[in-house]
Amino acid sequence: MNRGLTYSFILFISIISSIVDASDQLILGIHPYKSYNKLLNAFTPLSEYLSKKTGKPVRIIISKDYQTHIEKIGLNKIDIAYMGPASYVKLINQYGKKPILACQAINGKPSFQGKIIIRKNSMLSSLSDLKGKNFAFGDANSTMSHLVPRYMLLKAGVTAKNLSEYKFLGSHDNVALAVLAGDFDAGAVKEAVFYKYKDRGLKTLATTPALSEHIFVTSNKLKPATINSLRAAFLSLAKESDGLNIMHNIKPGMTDMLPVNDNDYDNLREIFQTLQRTNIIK
Amino acid sequence: MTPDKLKKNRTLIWKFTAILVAFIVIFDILVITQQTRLLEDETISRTNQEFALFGKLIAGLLTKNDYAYIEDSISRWSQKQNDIINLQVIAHNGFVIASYKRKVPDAKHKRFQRVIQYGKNKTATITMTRDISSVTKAINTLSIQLVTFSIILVTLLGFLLQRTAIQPLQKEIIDHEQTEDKLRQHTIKLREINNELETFSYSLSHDLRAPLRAITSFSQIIKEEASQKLNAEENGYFNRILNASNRMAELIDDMLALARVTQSNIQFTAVNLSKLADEARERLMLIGTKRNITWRIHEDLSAYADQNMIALVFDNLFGNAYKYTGKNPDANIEFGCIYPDTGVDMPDNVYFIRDNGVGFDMQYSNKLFKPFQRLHNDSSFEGTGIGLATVQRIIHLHDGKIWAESEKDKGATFYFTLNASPK
Repeated sequence: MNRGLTYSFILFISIISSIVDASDQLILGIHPYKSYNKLLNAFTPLSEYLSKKTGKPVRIIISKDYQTHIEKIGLNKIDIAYMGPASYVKLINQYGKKPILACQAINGKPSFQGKIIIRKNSMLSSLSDLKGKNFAFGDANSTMSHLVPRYMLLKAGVTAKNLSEYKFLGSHDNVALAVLAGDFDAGAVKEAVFYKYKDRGLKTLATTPALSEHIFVTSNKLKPATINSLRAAFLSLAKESDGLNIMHNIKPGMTDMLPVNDNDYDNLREIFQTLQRTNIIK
Repeated sequence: MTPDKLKKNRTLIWKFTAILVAFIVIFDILVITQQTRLLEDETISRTNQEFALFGKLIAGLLTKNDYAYIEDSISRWSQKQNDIINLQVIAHNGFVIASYKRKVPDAKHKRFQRVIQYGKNKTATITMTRDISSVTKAINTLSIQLVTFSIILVTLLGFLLQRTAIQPLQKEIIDHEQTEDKLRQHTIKLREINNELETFSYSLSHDLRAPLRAITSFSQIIKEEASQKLNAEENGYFNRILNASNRMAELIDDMLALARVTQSNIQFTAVNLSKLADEARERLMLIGTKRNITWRIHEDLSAYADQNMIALVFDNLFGNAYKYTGKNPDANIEFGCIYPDTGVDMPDNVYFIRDNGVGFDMQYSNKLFKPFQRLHNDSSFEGTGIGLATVQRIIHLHDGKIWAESEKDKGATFYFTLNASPK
């Protein structure tokens, strides 16, 4: 009798959940670039906005790491994914094309750049002068504080072997301070960090190519009508009365959601291919 | 207590007070400087300990190239210590890696610096500025306390000293001054009385001369005219009258001489005593009867004295010697000096006049210089008994001393002192 009750309860739950699934709920997946709670708070206004626009409930999930995140959207286990340009390039490379919803714009710009920095009084004038010098990178996985600058050095004929020393200092700030303190001759940072420390005695040796910003992609499984309504919701976000608040909640400085094409990420793709060829990344 | 002693004691008390005050001031300064140094040392050692700890932390962060975390560490460290005004980490190239600044208006501060090593022979400098106004405040408080304490101590001691030493001393000084004043007044009064007496005796002596002269003259006339009418007994009476009159005239002359000495002003000059003595001898030999006397007058003796008065001294003392050696067929009279030609060490020379006459009994020596006191009866040695009193007065007027030594029948020696040179 007890057993029968338990079975009937499990059955009931599975029926209910299949009904919810069937009722077309949307899952918004985020990569873990901040703590779980912070990310949940940051994206809740957007999920509520999307839910209102599509008429479907939107649930937020946060993946345990970047690779899992790529897998989930690659295998269409989540419906909407927010991701950085490097992850996007990996995703397409591994799982083929995905419908693109929008690209974020920071201060109106849908792209971002990095700087290779030196001290103001430095005699260096070109990237090739860096041979025999030491160089500070941020994080080994960071696009702007390692991968893109590494590609640029390679193109200028500067390899790890002909640098006297190179080191990963963890953060963009540490790279800027290390160069200023004279512990390193040059370093790579994102643009914002360069401007933060510029007045304390930095100048640019080289600027990276402009890379397209973070992107929202969607699952291949969704109906075209849903995709269209989602895309429309993203692209019109800036015109909404609380659109700016929703975006600022995700990232201060975010001003718009703009249309973007897959080939806007071709320059990054080429950078990755080059780095893979030279075994700098796998 | 004499005025000198009083003065000495007073200066002693002031000296003691001054030394006490100086001692307290020195003590205060010592305590304050010591305490300042202690507090400063404490700050320095605390800073050194902090540098050791903080320097290790910073060196570790620099080695890891974690510059961003240094900024955090600096502000966290500074906020823990509420006396840090400024804390900086400066790279070897002068770049300020991290800096903490707190605005403290007009705070007294001290700057510390420590060079740390990191990585492979790399250096950075940590500078720290500390607010040391707490040290200054503590020292100020201590100074105020010490100064207050010192003032109270000095006041208390001063009060005690005033009560136990200065006040009694002042009372004694006032008493002493009053006594002195009284004495002075007495002396003045005495001198006045004395002057009056002397004037009186002088005029008395002077006025007695005229009637005495009349008595003598008329007695002489009567004797000359009536001597043959009178029998031997009556003539004897007349002779007695005449002798008595002459003797009285002598007495009066001597008394006038004594009074003149007292009233005349003393006039000091360099006096050749040997010459004066010789002159006195000559005067004596002119009036005296011819006798065999051996004179010894030492040569080149001199003194700083009144010439006329000293002549009178010689007249009297030689007169006495002559008189009392009258019965000696081998008379000796000597004038000399015990310390001839002494220098500055002996301002008073001691002179003597010695004879080998009858002398006197030393037990009566206290009567010797008193007027009208005679140690020998009239019949054997004539005299008035005023001569030595006159001599004594003259020597005393010269601030000198006079005394005599003798033994009966073995002569007498009179000593007197005079200034060898002007004082």
